[in-house]
Amino acid sequence: MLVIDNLNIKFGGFSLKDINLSVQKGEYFTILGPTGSGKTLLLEIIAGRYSVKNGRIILDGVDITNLHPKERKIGYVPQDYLLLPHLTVSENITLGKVQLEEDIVNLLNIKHLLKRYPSTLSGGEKQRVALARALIRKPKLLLLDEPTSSLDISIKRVVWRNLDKIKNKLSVTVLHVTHDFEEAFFLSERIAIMRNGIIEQIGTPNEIFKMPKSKFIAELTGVENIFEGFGKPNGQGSFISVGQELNFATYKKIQGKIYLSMRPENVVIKKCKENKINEFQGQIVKILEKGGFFRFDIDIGINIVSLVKASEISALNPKVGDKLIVEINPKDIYTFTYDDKSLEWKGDKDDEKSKN
Amino acid sequence: MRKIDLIAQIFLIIFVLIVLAGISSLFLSINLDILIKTLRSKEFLFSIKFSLTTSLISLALSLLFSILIAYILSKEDFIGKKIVENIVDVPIFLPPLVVGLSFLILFGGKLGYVLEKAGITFLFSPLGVIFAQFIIITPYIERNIEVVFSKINKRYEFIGKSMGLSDFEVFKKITLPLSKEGILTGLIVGWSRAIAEFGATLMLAGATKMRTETLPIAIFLGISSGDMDFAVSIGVLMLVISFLILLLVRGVVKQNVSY
Repeated sequence: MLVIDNLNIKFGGFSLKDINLSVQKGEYFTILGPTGSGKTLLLEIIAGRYSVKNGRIILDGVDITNLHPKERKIGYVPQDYLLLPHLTVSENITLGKVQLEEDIVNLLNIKHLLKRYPSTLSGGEKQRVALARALIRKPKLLLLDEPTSSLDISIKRVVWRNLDKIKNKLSVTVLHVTHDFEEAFFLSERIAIMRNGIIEQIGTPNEIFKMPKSKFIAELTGVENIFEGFGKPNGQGSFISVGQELNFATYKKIQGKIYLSMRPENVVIKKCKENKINEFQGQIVKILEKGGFFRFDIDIGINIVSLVKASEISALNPKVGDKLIVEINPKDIYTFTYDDKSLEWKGDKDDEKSKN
Repeated sequence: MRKIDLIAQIFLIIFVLIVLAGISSLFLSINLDILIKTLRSKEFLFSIKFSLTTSLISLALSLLFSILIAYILSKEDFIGKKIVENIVDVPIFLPPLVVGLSFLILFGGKLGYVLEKAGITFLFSPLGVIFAQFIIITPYIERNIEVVFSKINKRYEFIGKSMGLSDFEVFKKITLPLSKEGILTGLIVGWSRAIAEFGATLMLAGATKMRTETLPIAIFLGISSGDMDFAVSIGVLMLVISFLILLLVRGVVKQNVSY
């Protein structure tokens, strides 16, 4: 189990602030954040590249905060793999005076690469070798720094399956950092969202997907419909006006300026009004086929995106220019405080209040 | 062709002609019979053997110092680092005669007396030749190695540590192998300077026939005693050696891989 306790570090003009994390033994934990958020710095601190004065890092009960990297029992796969160019693949893997293990060689399918030099390997091959090198010393914790960022999308998916296989087969605790939310959601049991050296939210992929705590997290996790609005309490809930004519009803009590958002897959399109809450008339501006889904850009006074399964729209047969009705269930509307610097999630708070 | 290109080409041609004129004059003034006779003479054989021996010893000593100094200067930041760097570079900027003179005064004083009591004599001895070469070539070798050390991606070394290597093992297995081309270039440059070293050697070790007679000292002694043929023969030989070293440097630099 990895515990990061109140870690603070200044590095040039950048700082990691109040990092508190707990990764369970055998858990696949991902830190998701944009470039420059401090993910790699955090990983390198855990691996022992930089010394820490404020905070503690504890791995399986041992305080490793100021241990030499070789004593930490951590395997580290850097973003650029950093295979030593003057050593063969085999020598790279056994650099730390260990025997080559057939299990790991076979698991990562690198037997045929052992005598080659890194300069002759493809990106995917380098990545597998770097993984083998990190795993060979049977680490308690495997740190992966953007392991697929330099790979083609087709190879990425193979790597994801490999990582999943490794985690299950070797039962190793994994701390993975990435800016790719699809990758984080595919692999992780829990995700921490990081921005500007601060962890903004920790939760399961489902929790983060369904309840992003801020506009930033909503955008990072692919929410496309984010609008500025003004909330006015009304009975048990509120109306949020967007522009001059649109009023979205929510079950939350909201007062003042606010961001509201809804996932495209929760934006329902239909031909006629059914006198439900949050039905708006709109016109299709653009249609894009995306795998088994159709993505609609609809003008309802604002441009709203709807994602609909291909199997669900055959009856509608929509075309660009068609007029239709857009419906959003009030429970699918997320709201974030207007000042995104605040990490408070207003919806939760209001829900708590209404429960009390 | 642009005007600036034309002017640059003219300057290039002038300089190449000047160098060729100097080299040709040396070759044209040589008498083949005298060259063969000189190459077989005891004095020449001594001076070439002496030059090779002293230069290789000073080179080995300098390599040891240079690697360790370069390691510290490329990796560590400490108070007064800039001053230390400038002191290390002093022999590059100071005329070798002045370097030799300063050590002549140092070893001619109390320190020299103490050392002499311990059986170590720098003044007017082969040890003085080695010392003079060592002082002059070390900053050149150190500079080459420091540049290549600081060019190495520090994260390679960190990877080594995270793989279970100690700091010394990281240095041996990662830093040194990744720097080998730079070290080799430094060695060749240092060796060429050691072979050609004259000013500091003359001041510290003197110009004694068959005792402190390196190849440049042999040229100096030949001219001083009016034996131009001997001086020219050794000059031609040094030219050949320099040319071979130049080819070696070019070969190494061509293969140099930057990590």
